[in-house]
Amino acid sequence: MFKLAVLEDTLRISPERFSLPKFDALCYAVHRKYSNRIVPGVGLCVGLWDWLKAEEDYLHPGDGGSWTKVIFRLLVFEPQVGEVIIGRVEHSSSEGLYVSVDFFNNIFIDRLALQEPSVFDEEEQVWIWKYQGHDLHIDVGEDIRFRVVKVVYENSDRSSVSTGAMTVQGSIAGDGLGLVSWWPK
Amino acid sequence: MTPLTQYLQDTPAGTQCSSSLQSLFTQLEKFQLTVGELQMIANQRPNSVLQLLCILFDCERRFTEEEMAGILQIIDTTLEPSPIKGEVDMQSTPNSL
Repeated sequence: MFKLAVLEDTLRISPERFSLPKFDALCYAVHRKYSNRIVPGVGLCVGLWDWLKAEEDYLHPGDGGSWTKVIFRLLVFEPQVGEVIIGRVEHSSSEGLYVSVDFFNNIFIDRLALQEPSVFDEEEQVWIWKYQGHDLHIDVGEDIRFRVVKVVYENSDRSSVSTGAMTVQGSIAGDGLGLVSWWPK
Repeated sequence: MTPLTQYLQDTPAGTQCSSSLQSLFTQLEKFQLTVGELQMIANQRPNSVLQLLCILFDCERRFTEEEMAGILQIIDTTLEPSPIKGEVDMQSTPNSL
């Protein structure tokens, strides 16, 4: 689910932070640019892990801030394909299920990746798995165990950091998958 | 970071410490599990064969029933019990009594 990614960047320390120790100011710059944002191809950045290298600071004409080239490691959230994760059902639509883990909510389970056979109840807006004569509802707020099928990035440009662009596609078609309450110990 | 720590605290991973994880990994070495499988075991603390079937790739072909029971036994003895959701943390209540 989590990994350390090595990143290289040139960070700006704004003049009002010149009085801070250098790495405190650089930490602030990393958090400001990366925390809770998505780097395409890498994942959702949680926070700075450690520094690997920092070069000298440079000033550019016309800019009061100083620029430093750094190499650092970020703690990143990116589920692996095939990984099984437990999340929570956020809401359902006729297209499928929307699931979240508390800090990330762009997880989608397509209607074709549900347990067979499943039907969508338009009135209650809920998916129901018809298992051996029983109607098992997939209610909002329930814990759900799903397998990661694919991680899709909207933008393939690795140099751009954005807030919205990662979708995790999952599946609950399989033994043991689906609502945690469906499979008692 | 706060939603993340909250999420992790509610999972079985929230009650473990590095020494129990080390013990878990050492005892599971003989089963030759992949890093991803070990990670999922540590994060979810499976307690039934069905949960192992989900987590371990090609489980039925790689392990016999006895071996799966052995894996579950090791998990149960080395890792701390999962946190129960909604349970009050006794250490954080005021010492007024």
